[in-house]
Amino acid sequence: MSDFLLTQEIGSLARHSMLKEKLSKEEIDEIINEGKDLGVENLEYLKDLLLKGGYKLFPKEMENFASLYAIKLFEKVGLDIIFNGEQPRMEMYQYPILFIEGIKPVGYVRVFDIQYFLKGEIQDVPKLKKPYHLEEFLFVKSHTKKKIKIPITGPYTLADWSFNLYYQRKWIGKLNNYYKEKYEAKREFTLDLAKNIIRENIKVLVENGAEIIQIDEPAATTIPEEVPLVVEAFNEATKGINCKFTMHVCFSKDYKLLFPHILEAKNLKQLALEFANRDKKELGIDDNIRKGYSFLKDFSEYSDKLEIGLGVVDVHVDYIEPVELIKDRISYAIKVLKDPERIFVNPDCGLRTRSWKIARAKLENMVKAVRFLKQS
Amino acid sequence: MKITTYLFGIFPKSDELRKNFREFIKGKISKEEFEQNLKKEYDFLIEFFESCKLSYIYDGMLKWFDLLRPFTNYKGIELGTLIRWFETNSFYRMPIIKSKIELEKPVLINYFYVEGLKKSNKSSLTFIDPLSFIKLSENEYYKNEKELFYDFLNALLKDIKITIDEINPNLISLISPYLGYYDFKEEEIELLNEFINKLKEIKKEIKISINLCFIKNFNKLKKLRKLNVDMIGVDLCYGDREEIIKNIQGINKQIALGLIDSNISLIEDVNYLLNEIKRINEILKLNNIIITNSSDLDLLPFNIALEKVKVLRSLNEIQV
Repeated sequence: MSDFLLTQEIGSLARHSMLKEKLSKEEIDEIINEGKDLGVENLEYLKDLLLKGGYKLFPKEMENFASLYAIKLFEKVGLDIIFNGEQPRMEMYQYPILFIEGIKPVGYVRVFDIQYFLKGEIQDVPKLKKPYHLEEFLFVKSHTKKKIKIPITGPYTLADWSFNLYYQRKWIGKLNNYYKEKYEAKREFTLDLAKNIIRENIKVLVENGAEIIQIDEPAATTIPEEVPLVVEAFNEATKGINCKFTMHVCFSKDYKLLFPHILEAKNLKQLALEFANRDKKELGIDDNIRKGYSFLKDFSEYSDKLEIGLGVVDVHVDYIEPVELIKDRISYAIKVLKDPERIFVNPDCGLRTRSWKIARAKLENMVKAVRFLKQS
Repeated sequence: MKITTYLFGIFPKSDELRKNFREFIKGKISKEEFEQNLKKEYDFLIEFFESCKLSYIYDGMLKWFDLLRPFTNYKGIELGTLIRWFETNSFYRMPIIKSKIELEKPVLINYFYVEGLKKSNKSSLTFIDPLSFIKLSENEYYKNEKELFYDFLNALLKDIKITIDEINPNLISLISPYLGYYDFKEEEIELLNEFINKLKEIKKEIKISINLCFIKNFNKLKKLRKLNVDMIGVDLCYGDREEIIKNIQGINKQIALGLIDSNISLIEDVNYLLNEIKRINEILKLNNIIITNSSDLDLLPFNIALEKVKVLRSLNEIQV
C-alpha cells in the first residue's frame, strides 16, 4: 500500500436490497448476478436462503452476505481502507441506542419535510448492554486483507440527538440558572456516554485487533459553544487506548468552529470532513474555483500534524463527479497543505442515500483520480 | 394576577397524520381522504387548545413543512437546499430568490385551517416575520436588500390581507428567529415597523405579537422597545435566561415569557414554573403574566407536545 493519498470510505452504503423482507424471483436473480460480478463466494447458498424467506427468516446470514457484498465492492473499486458499508446497522443513531440501557425511544421528531427520526430519551445512567460493533469488525477482519476503519457514532452526537430527561431532572433548578443547568446536564450525559458506552466499545475493538477507529460526530459544531465538550468527550472515550483515531464531521456551517478546541483532542490523528457538497463543479485549482475547500487554508494554519480526510464526492446527489474534477479537488488540497501524506481521500460522508450503482461509480472515479495523481 | 397563555409555531403531527401525509405524497390515498384525516387532527387540536383555555386558538400549522415553505410559492422564489434550522437537528429548505417577487395567486390561505379558525372568536395566525424570511433565504436576484424587502412585503401584505379577510383572526403571531439570534441593525427595526403598521391597516383591532426564538443576541434586545407590536414573546429556554431578562427590563410592552421548552422532553413542573414566574416578575414587574412556548413545538414528538400544552392548562388555573 502506498503511503500517500490513501483512499477510504466514510461509513455507510445503502442497506442492500437483499435485506428487504420481500423479494421477487427477478430481484433474487439480480442479487446473485451482482454477487458474481463482485466475486462473492457461496452464491448458491445465498440464493437458497433468499428463496426460503431471506431477511425475514435469516436476518443474521443476510446481514453477513450484505456486508460481504460491501467488502467486495470496496475491494473491487480499489479503496485502501474499508469496512462493511454499515450493513447490519439500520441507522447511525437508532442502531447504537438499541444497545444502550437507559435510552428509550419516545417518539418521532421531524428532521425535514416528512422525514422523521425516532428520538430516544435518556431515563437512567447509560449502561452498555453489549459491545455493538465487535461482531461486524470480526466479520470484516476475517474477510479482507485491506486496512479496516470502524466508524462509531460519537458520544456528543448521541447525546445531542437524544432527549436528556434523566440528567435534566437531576440538574434543573439546582444552579438558579436554566442555561447553565441544561449545559451541565448535557455535559454529564455526554461524558457518561463517552465513559460507559463508547470507551467500552473501543476497548473491546482494540483488544480484538482494531487499528483505526472513526468517531462520527456530525453534530460537533451544531452548538458552537459546545465544541469543547465534543473534545472532552472524545478524550474521555479514547484516553490511554493505543489505536489510530479519526473524527468525521460533516455539513457544518463552519469548520473553523472546531478550532482551536479540536487541537486538545489528544489521540486524534485525522479529521475527515465534507467539502464536495459546498464546492463548484468547474475544473481548476485556483482559490476562486475551489471555494468549497477554502477551509483547508485555515486547517493548514491551525495544524501541521493532523491528517485531513478530504471529501471529494457529494453524497447527496446522483451526479457522478468526473475524474478530472476529483483530481482538481485533491490537487488543490495538495497545493494548500503541501503534504500528500496528510491527505486521505474519501466521499463527503456515508453513501447511504445513494444507490449502490451510483455509490460505486462515485468511488471508482475517486480511486481513478488518485491513481492518476500518483502516477503523475 | 391571573396567568394567561398562548401557543405559536408549527405543532408536531400525530403518527396517524404523518402516515396520512406519506401515503398522500406517494399517491396511495386520495386527496379527499387526505383532507378528511387532516381535518380530524385540526379539529382535535383546536378542541384540545380550547379545553386548555389558551387565550388564542390556532390550527397547529399542520400543513407547514417549515416556516419558510409557503412563501416559496410566490413568483420569483424557488425551493433550495436543506439548511440546519439554527442550532437544532431539524432542517428547512432555503428559499432562493431568482427573480422579481410577486404574488400571482393567494398562498397563505391554503396553509391554514380556514373552516376551523373562522369559527373561533379568539383565533391567531402565525408566520415568520419578513426580515427573518429574507435573512434565511438566498438572494440571487436583487442588488439591493431594501428593494428585495419591499417586493416581498408587497406580496406578503396582499397575501395576508386575503387571509385576514377570510379568517378574521384576533392575533397575528410573528416568529422572529432573526431578531433573537442575529446581530440585527436598528434600521431593520424600522423596516419591520413599516410592515407591522401596514398589517394594522388591514384590521385595526388586530393584536400583533412577535416571538423571538433562539435568543443569543442579548445586547440588542433593548432596541426592541421601538417595535410597534402589542406583545413581545421571548424564548427563555435557549440562550442565557438571566441575560435575556436583564436586557428586556424596561421594554414598555407586554412580554410573553417563553418558558415552555420546545427542545426538551422534560415536562415542566408547575411549581418550578411558578417560582420562575415570580422570580422573573420581581425583576420585570409585568402588568400581565403571559406564558408561551419557547419556539415551534415540532422539535418534540406529538404526545410530549400535548403534555406540554397541559402544563399551560394548569397555569391558566392559577393566580400569582
